[in-house]
Amino acid sequence: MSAGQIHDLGYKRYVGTRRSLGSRWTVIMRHQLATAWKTWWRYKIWLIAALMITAIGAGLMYIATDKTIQIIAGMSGTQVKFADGALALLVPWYCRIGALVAMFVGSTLVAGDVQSGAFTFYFARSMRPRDYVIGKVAALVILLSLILLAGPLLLGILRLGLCESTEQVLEALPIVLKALAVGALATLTYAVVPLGFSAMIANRRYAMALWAAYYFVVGTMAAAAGLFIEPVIGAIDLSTALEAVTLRLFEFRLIGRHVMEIPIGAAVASIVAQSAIAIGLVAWRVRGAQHSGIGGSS
Amino acid sequence: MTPLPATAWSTVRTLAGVTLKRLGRGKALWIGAMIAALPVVYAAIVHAAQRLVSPDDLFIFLRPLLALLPAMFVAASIGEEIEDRTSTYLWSRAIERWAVLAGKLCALAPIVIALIVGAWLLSTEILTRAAPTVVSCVALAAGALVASLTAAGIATAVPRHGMALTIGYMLVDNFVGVLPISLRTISITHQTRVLAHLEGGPFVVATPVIALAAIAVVWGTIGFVRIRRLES
Amino acid sequence: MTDSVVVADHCSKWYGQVLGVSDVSWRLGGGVIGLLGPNGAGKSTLIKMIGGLLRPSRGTLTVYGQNPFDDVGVRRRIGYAPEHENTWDELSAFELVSAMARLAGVAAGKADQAAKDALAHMGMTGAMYRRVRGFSKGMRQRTKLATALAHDPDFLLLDEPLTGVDPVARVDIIERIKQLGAAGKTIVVSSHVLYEIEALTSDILVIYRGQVLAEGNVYEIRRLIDRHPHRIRVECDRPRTLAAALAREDHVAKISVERSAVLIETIDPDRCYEQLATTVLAEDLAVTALSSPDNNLGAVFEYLTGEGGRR
Repeated sequence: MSAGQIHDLGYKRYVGTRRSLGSRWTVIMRHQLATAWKTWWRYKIWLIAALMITAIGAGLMYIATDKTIQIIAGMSGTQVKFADGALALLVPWYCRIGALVAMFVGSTLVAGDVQSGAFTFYFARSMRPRDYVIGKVAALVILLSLILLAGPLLLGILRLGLCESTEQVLEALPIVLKALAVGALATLTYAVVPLGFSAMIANRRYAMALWAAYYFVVGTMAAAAGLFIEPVIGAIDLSTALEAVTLRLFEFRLIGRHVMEIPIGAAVASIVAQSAIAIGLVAWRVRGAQHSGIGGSS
Repeated sequence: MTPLPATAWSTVRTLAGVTLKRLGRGKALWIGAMIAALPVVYAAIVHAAQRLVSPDDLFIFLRPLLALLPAMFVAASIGEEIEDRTSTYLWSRAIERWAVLAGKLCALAPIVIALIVGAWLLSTEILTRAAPTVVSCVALAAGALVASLTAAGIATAVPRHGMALTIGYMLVDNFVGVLPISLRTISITHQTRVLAHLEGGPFVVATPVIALAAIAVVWGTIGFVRIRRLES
Repeated sequence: MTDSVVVADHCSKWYGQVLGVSDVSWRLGGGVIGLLGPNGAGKSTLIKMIGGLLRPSRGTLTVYGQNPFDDVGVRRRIGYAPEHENTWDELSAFELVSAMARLAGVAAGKADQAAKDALAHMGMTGAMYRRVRGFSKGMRQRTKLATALAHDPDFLLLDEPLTGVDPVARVDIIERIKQLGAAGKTIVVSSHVLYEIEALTSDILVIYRGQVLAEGNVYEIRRLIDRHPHRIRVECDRPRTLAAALAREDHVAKISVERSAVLIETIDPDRCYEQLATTVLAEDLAVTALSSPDNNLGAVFEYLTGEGGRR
């Protein structure tokens, strides 16, 4: 057997510190954040819309603090002050913006990578499928939390600021925690579920269309079917499920609407189940890409 | 001997034929049909539950179709042509550029109209055991056509993101259309609903026809003017 | 009415802040022209302006006396094969080329035959009914070239027609392009691979950083680069004798001796060749090989651009 030889062509192997395997997902996350931030219409404009909703809500809370809202009532039929009910009423608006961000950003992520052949680059490096999934989800969580978590949280803090005494502050403190809980659940919903659609089909335009059809058509159908068949069916609609959770947490009900008939457990279970299915789809797509993308990989 | 330039009509015909052929061999038609079938499924569920739903309530589920299907077919087709750079083949040919847009619309707008009107026909039939009125079908066809022209205009203005922006525009159009404000005059979905005469009462034709025509002319003009300037 | 096929007059094109082509003035009379330049030099930008896909930001560019962007009629005489390989993949090669022929003005009844002829000319008869989606790179390139040929244009614009093509197909495509040139078509072929252009033509246009660096016959251009002495390599039985005889001459800038060869750098190659012949006869040297390592496109390109043409 002939002896091997390495020729020094001037290339020096990198000998510095290497990022740990467990932190590779941060690279994916940072790239995704940078991409979403690039154009105005993809994310920035929706962030501005969320800020405007927050500003308008805050302004109205300040001006009409003690006025009552006619369409919303306490559990025992008590009147609800605007400052208390505004947050619950504004959550559906944040959800609409979250759905649009999900459509423009989330629903095209995995499909775009499949279509462009990016997986070949990812898995030619020491990148694990879970790094990819975690990175994508983390990026979406950050983007959506700025809309769905920050907005309600700010309004909750403002509510504390509108209190006139320490006792009122302590009484109103749970509002902040409830705003956090609702915001976190909404962030999870709009970060994860669209990713599932993105993984279903290898074309980002069709993935976007499927998500839009699911959210705007199937969701509306489920909400309507929940009215006359079984309220639990309405929980399939993500916005209805989130609205139900919000009203239950804040112990309000919408006069003339039936969303309160959806049990909070069913609403949360629906969101969790849809998120789990979405993660499963993403994992399936990514594993498939890992095995086929670079040829010969077992 | 080099041939004469292709006539506009032959360009339109050729492009329409190619577009339909590609559509038939791709996934878009299946996905579009699946989306269009959703209101039909809802009608079947309502019928099975023996509930009464008016055609006006059923129209709520046709509104998203007006947002999605023109975007999926028209805007996506134009956007893909430019993004994939296959438009370089077209721009280098001896054809009028407006004929390219016309060819795509001739192929895709009828598909969009057929899916939306078909969904309306089937779902109304299932729900009411009677065919919908001719007026409502014509109104939906008109709305679908105007939405297709809008999609074409948006896609030529912003080719890379035309589909997403068209969906966004039409969702805003949907939202404005349900508000009791004068702005809804320029809403395609509102005017389609008025023209379909689903609510009963006096039958208003002039306003919705003029409004829809004006919207079509504006977006159509944007599309046909912009495509003449597009560079590859 | 101009005799030139292409006339570019102070033509510039920029994309936002990026300058694609800068103040290009050039006339193309006919024949086969190699458009050379490194990546990002502006070759594709220039070709797209000629093909009517881009408008100059400043200056004018006409083809057969007309503005190709606005004039539909002049585009019927142009056949353009882009550098990218995206096509309508759902169609078969035959369907694609036939559609392109019809769009180029070929009557519907004749487009099918024109497509078959063009595909046959590019050696694609066996695969013409297969969908383009399943084609290799070489097959895609051939199909692309067939779309440019189907309507029998007078002027062909081929943007990097050999990218990704295997060596066997490369030779075949080069041969077919040469046949088209011999048949009287005006052809502009762009490439950054020098030996491809060398195989096709000796008339070149060198673009570098958006500007025309040189144009004309490659040997004439070489002659004009007088700041770089010509190199001549002579293999013989007594290289030192030859070296000693030539070292005295004032046109010789440098001589180096190898084991069985002499490498001469001269500022007057004609005189050098004359004296070489005289010296060989006088000293009774046995010359086994005589070559000029830099009388080729690679050397010309390197001298002009100051960077490796092999990059």
